[in-house]
Amino acid sequence: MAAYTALKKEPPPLYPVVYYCDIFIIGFFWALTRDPLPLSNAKELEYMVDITHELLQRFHDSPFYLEKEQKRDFRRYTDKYCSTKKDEFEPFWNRIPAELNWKKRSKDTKPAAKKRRTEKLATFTEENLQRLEQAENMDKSKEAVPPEEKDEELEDEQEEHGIVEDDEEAISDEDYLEGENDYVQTYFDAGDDFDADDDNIDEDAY
Amino acid sequence: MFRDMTTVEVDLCVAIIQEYFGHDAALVGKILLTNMLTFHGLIMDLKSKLSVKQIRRIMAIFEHHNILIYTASERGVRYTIPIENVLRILRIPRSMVIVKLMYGKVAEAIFEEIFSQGKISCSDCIRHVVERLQCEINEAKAKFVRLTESQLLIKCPEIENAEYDCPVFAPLVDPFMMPSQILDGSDEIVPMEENLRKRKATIYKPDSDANTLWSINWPRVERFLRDELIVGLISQNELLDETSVNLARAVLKVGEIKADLIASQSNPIAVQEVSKYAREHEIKLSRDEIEQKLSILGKESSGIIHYDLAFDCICRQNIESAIREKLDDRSVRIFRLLCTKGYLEEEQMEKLAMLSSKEVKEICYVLLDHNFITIRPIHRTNDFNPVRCLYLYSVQLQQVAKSLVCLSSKALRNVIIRRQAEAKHNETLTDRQLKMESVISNIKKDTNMDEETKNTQIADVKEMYLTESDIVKLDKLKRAQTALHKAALELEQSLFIFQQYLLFKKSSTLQIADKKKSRKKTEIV
Repeated sequence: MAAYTALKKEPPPLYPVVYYCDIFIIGFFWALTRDPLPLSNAKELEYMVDITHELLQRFHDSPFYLEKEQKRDFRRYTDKYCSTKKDEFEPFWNRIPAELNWKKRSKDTKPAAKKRRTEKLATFTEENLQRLEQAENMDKSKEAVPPEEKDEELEDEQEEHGIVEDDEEAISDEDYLEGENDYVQTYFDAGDDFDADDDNIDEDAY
Repeated sequence: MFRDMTTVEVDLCVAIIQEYFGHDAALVGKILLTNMLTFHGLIMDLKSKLSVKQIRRIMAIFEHHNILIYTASERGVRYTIPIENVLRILRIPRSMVIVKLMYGKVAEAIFEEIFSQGKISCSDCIRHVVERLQCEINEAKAKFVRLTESQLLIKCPEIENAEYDCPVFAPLVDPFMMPSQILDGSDEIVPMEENLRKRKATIYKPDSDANTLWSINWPRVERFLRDELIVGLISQNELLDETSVNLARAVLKVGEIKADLIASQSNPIAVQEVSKYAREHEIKLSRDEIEQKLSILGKESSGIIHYDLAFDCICRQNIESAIREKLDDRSVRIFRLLCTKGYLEEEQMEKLAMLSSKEVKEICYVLLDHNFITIRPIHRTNDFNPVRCLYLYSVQLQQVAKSLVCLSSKALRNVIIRRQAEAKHNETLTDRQLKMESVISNIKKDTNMDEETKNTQIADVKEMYLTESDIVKLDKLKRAQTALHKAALELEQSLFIFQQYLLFKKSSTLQIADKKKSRKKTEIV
């Protein structure tokens, strides 16, 4: 009863409180009209506090937690000794959409393709040689096998490979480059009409 | 999906993410909590603050911890973070205590491991737990099996189709089945084929179950939490002794197996099932005793557990305690009166509560201020004459619960931020203390000196690093941190209660709406 009659005259005063975390938050809060009840001392609650503390520690030590990099005004000697080393985080790549993958890069297929191309060619020529050897042996041993068929087969395969070869050796810009000459790549030949448009420019005529 | 959230809850989730995952993750989380975006949209929002690689990494971390969800749509893959997923992080300590009480220390460690790793295979989990606790592998295996049997752990969906940009998941067939082979990975080196480049590292033989990942089955955990709350409610009744309370727990467990996870009422439970369960779990009561105690617990309910009514009660109790803390006992009296009677005028309240009219008026206005009760003016005449206007007070429990959800979220966020701020403010002091402790432990390990010199050295070190006032400050800081942690846990409990109550209410209104629809259909037909 007494509390209410006291309050009726004017509202309780506002107390400015400054909370700061990464930014300063200034808030004005009403003072409490009654004291808060004390927290319980139950063992369960204290055990839970320990668990939370442990969990937080675990998360902060794990690779999941990123400390905000503090830019100091000057470098300190202890900087490289203070920072703890954490394991790199490796997600299960096949469980997340491909766009979240920061390791695979889809743009670098050209050098790999080139390597593949040369590898394929190398294996192709080897295979071809082997086949020709085999064909020779076969010819020697069995003359009954018609060489025409063999040739056709070989031709077909060559065509296939040839087509593949053609595709692989698609015309790229590099083919237009001539190597080992004195022409500068960035040479620009303007021709006679380049500077013809300026009528009234007062240039010093040397 | 976004209709049920409030800015307050979003802010709380941002604070939680910041605490557990860091500042950058909080920036990403803030945008994803309120929107459903494509990856490109997210990059546009965060262009100035974070690099693309960092964003990718943070999103992968979120997905790994089951916080982020995504759906494939025509415009690409769209990502968002539901609030519930973040709030679950706060419920871990309580659920760990329940797991420990029911299944033991090793099971608790398994639970913690799975939570802190997000998703992990069975073998890896058991290995880590054995390393941490130095226990037997068989024991860890057995506990893992127990946890899967009680459905606290659930398998992550398998990948059906990995060709498209977004993985397609197959529906879970046996979500709780243990893999047949575990822990068979070893340090043998698998012989590599010759075509592979030489730079690849040696491949160790993986476990057979490396692809079946487990994570926490949250609906079941929430069910456990709810059961504990109901047992708490029942044990408040002083007429019941401990065996009855245990029996009540048994009844709830039996009900758990039968009903849906979010059912508002369980299916009827027979006495036989309860006695069977009691026998299995070593509750030494004869069949007759069980019947007797059950009849005390709920004579006319015919074996149905009414979760919604229980939560109604718990919610009401919490609101009353909130009123008692903020205001005083008489306000609680008025509140209870209104809850039981429905709509009342001031004069009626005077008579029923036995308070003077002045007091009643004051209390009602204060309660109105804090949004605990609502007022409804009813005009008797057509001309809205205020003299002839009747003002009815009532309690709209859902409204009150919603406002208290906001209040507890705000309070929880404040507590978290305050705790972080205090820790940061005293960072130098705590660092010094850590250094001092490491120096002392080095001295203790040193074998060159004898006890006396060690002690003198330790005393010197202590003096050098921390003064008396520093020690007092550190002690105060530690007590403040524990108090704030406790406050956060209690607040989280209240938040859970109010949210569950609102969930039950929502599902019951949906049920009523469905019934009306079906009735209308039958009428039309």
